[in-house]
Amino acid sequence: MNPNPLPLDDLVPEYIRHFAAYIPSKPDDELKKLYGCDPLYRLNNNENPLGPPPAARAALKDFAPYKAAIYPSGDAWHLRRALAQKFDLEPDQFLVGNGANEVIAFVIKAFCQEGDNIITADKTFAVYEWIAEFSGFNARLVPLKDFSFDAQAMLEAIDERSKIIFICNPNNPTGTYWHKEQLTNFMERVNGRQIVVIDEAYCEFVEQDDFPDGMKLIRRYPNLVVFRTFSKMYALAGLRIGYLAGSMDVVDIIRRTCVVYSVNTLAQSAALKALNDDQHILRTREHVKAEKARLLPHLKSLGLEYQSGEGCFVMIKLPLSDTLAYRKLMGRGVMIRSMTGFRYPNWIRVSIGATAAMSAFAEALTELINSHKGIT
Amino acid sequence: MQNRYPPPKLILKTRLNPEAKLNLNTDPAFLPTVQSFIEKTVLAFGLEAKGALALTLAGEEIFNYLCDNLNLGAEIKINCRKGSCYSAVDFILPLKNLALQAFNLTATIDVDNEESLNEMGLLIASRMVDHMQISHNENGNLQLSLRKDKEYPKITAGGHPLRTPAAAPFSIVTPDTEELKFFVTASHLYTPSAFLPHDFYYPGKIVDMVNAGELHAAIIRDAAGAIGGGIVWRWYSAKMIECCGPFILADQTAALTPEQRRTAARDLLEYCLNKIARSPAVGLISLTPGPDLPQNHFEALGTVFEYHNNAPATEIKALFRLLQEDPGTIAWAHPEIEDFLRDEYRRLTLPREIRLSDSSTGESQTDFSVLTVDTDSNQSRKKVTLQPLWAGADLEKNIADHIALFNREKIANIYCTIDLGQSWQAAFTPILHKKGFQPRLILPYGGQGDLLIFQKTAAAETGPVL
Repeated sequence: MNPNPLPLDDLVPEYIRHFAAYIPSKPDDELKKLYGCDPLYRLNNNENPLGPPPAARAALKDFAPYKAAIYPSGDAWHLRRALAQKFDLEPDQFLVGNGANEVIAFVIKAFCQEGDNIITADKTFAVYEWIAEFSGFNARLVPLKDFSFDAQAMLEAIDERSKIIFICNPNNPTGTYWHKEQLTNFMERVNGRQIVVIDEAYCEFVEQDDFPDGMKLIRRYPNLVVFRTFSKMYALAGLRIGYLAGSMDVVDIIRRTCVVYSVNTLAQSAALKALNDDQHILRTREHVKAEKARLLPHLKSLGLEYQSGEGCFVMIKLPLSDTLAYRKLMGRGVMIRSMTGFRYPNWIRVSIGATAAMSAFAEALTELINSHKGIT
Repeated sequence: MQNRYPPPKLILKTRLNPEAKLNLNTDPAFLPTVQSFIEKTVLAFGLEAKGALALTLAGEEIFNYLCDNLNLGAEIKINCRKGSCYSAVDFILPLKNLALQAFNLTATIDVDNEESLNEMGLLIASRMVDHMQISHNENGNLQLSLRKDKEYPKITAGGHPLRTPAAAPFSIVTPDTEELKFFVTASHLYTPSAFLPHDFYYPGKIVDMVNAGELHAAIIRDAAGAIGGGIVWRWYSAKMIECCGPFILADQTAALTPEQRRTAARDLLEYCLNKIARSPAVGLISLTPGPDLPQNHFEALGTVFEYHNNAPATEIKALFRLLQEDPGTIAWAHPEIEDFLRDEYRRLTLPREIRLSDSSTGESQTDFSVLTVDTDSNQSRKKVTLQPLWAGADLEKNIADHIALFNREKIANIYCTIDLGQSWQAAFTPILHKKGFQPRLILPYGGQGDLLIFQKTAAAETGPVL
């Protein structure tokens, strides 16, 4: 017997013992071997098929290897200044993280203590719920209503231990959003009692006039924290860089839980160059629009219900298990997101990818649906 | 006289499922300590006196056996656990292997053989408890677990149809105790018993399991509070959850239209799926899918046959669905089963690397094998499932002895499950084939890896079973 067996039962908190680690998908070469497919089109992570903006590409190309030996700016000094200029705020109102996921953790750590809870929706980006749960805080999940965040139900879920409310706007995976009036009404009714996080990871994809710009609301609502990312529109997902913005007092608190030096030099340089490329945004929007215009009628012709809102993705309801569909489509070299994990069993989410990838998806989906009809 | 070893170390914990631990050495002088520890603890857990006595005597026999067979002074741990409807005692031993053949259901003692007599205690212990399990725990130590179930009154199926059947629309809720018992009892009125879990004959047990978090339940209720159906689910293995239901409490001509009935069943299943969607489970199975289960949420795993007294065999289709994107895994296989596995994995579109296990390399093995037997005593489908615990040179004889025992007991439905995630179990395949078992279906992630379920064909080897 091991003389000193690890007393894991005693060492591990109860909320960790029952928490399931998220297992990311294997790398492409492994998946190709596993499913016997080549090529493999990744349409599962809402990545931008156009790649990073040209100036960011140049920054990546020009990166001098000697810089890899030197620590990055610990608090993304230049990037925060550029963000401040772009959004007419102060540099100290921004915190940059190793992807937006990291800044979620900063906020939860800053405001929650034992017995506190956060409030979010049941069918939204899972990371708010995960970080709260594995940090020992209860995540109160409010059901979506007609694919949208239900403001009234979220307000009713608040109690004296509610510290943070997470709103994904537009929502991943449904693409619905709160317009300006809905958001400001909600902020008024919260009345500064909780921190309200508006996750705007997909805001650059939205063209609707009534879509609220969270950055412009920070002065009016000091309890508002806005999340943004360079992973989606700016196509820097592989470099992991995102940020938050808020009032000076709130960001000053969050900074205390912020891990400095977590964002590498390459990511900071590329993000700095990407930030003001509005042409890239227009090109990406055009691409998403054109591919959705091809995809949606095809889904209709297959008799499939879908949910397509803002953002570079579409949810599709299938007449079969979504996880089976995932495996079947993988066999055809197309990787989508099965949605049971988002609490949408039998739905899949497909990202708007390159034209060739979307054609491969449409063909594989058609075959899947037709063969399923043949079985049933 | 001063003890040669440190005094036993006692740790008590109070949790949802309380437990107490005793660390001590294998010295017969500690026998009264062990006896007192087990008895007092399981009585405190609420086990009735008769059950506590049986578990205590079984624990004594195990401790005696360990004192005789381990080095004097070996450090062991005894852990008493309270489950929802049972109390259990674990013996955690400082070794990987021990001759435990007496744990086989078929074991007998030869009174003229001293070595055999030495195992009498194990045999007695195994017959005193309701479940036994031998396993390796996370530290690689051997763990013997004895379990005694609480007794519950059994309900008789039947009764009168509901006077006021529920009417759509419904809301889905977690039932309170009385609602849960009502749902469980009323299910017998509207669902053939073959589709109901055996525990549904014991509503009190269901309540205890739900209260302890070992079973989960949801019901549908109409605006007037009438219950229209429900679903239950529980962990089947470390990675798989099993659901039973949905069971709709209405006959086919009742207030619900077929569409309302389908919607109610789908909503119940999706409620269950959404509850477990972000759990550690990778899949959901339905081993006895009832008429209301929405099959388009599932994949067909395969079919087993249930043999009945004086009635034709019925087909039971097992269904499953994954909750996550399958990351792929390894399946250890004997060459005799390779083609079956390849065909099934292709049909199920499950990415698996099949590794062939080579049993011809001549390494030594232990003399005795151990099998556990899981019994489903539902009279309409009396069945047993064998599971390998230990491979050994007597495996073929051991399996044959078990089959003979089941034949004497007139048990027609005999299954054996092989864990394809455990390479040593591959050796069972040729013997199972020889003894008339056929592979029926693969249960993804049903064990450490996928489970392969064999079923003994009715007329093989020993002639017609019934």
